[in-house]
Amino acid sequence: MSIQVDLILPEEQRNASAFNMQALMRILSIVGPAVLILLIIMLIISFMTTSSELKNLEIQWQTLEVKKDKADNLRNQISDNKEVLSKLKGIRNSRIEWHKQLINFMAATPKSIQLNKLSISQDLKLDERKQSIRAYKVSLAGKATGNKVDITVAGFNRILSTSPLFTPYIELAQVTDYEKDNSSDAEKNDRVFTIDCTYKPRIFE
Amino acid sequence: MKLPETKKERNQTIILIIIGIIFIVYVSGSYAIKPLIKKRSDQLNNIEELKSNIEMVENVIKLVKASRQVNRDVVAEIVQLTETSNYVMKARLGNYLIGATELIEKSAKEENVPLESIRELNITDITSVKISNNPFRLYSVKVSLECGMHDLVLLLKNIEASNPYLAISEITITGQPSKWGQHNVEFNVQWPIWRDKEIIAEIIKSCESH
Repeated sequence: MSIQVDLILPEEQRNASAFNMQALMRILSIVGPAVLILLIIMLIISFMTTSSELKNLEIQWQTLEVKKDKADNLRNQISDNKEVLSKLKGIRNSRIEWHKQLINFMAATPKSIQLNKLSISQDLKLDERKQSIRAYKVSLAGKATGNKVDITVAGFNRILSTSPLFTPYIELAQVTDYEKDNSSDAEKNDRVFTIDCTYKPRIFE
Repeated sequence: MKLPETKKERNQTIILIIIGIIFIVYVSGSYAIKPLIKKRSDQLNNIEELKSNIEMVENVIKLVKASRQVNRDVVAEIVQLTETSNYVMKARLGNYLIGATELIEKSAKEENVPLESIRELNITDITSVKISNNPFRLYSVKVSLECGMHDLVLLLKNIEASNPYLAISEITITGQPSKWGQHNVEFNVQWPIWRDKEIIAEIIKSCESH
């Protein structure tokens, strides 16, 4: 007859199953907090590294900011100086060389016309786009003689309006006065006239 | 720590331990870890922004050398036109007429055209939206003489060629029936002048200080 004697009490027996809750709890109670603490330490180290990098960059920026201000000042100064140069060149570019215009007037005046007054006036003003301009007007007054006086004066006006000598400059030419010459030495067909020319605006740019 | 003997008590203890762990994790997460993560995230954003700004500024600073040369060139041109070539009229002891008279009389002498008079007219602004923005004003004189058209053209040509920045602003030519070929002539000559004579000194200084 066989006798089975349990030398190990039931409460002392080891758990034969693969999963031991008690052991797991023991492990978790140690590993869990350790992992948590490790994560916190890693986070703190990472934070300190980032803080240090940020601080270095802020110092670098402070140094560069001074240089940047100087660079900005230089850029502003260049802009101001270029503006001065532009304004000066605008004065040059807006002028008309009147000696050339006078030569052209003399060349274009028909032989049967005697100019007795030529006046050129300048007005400094703003155009519709608020640009500074020189606005010139030329007035030519004279006497026309001969048979076809009307045609002569009209022809002179047409030359001032359409000739390549004048079209780059003159915007409008029109006869503003045309009447019989009442002077004592005038012939029957003689006429006195005035042609007013408005010049194209000369922009200060 | 020894777990209770009975299964029920053991399970209760385990559940309490789990709840305790969850509570600790939640509290440390909310009050320690989460703010730390947020602060780090903000720092990373700041770092990115600073790096971008630093790169931009370094690029600007790299151009400073070239910009200095540009400024020197612009200032050199202004000085050449206004000081060296004297295209901008300078006052002598507050008087512009002396210089203007000398220049016109020089041209008249070269063209052998006698002048009757030269008189000061005015100083005007170049009309603009903001007049004070223009560093220049215009100084005018009126010249009177008696001459023929040919001589007048030569005189005006000489005056205009002497300074490309001056302008003949007004001309009146009136024929004289009693003097054939000799007309009464008046014309205005206009020069640019500095609004404030200190402007050119400041421009030159800007070149030296950079």
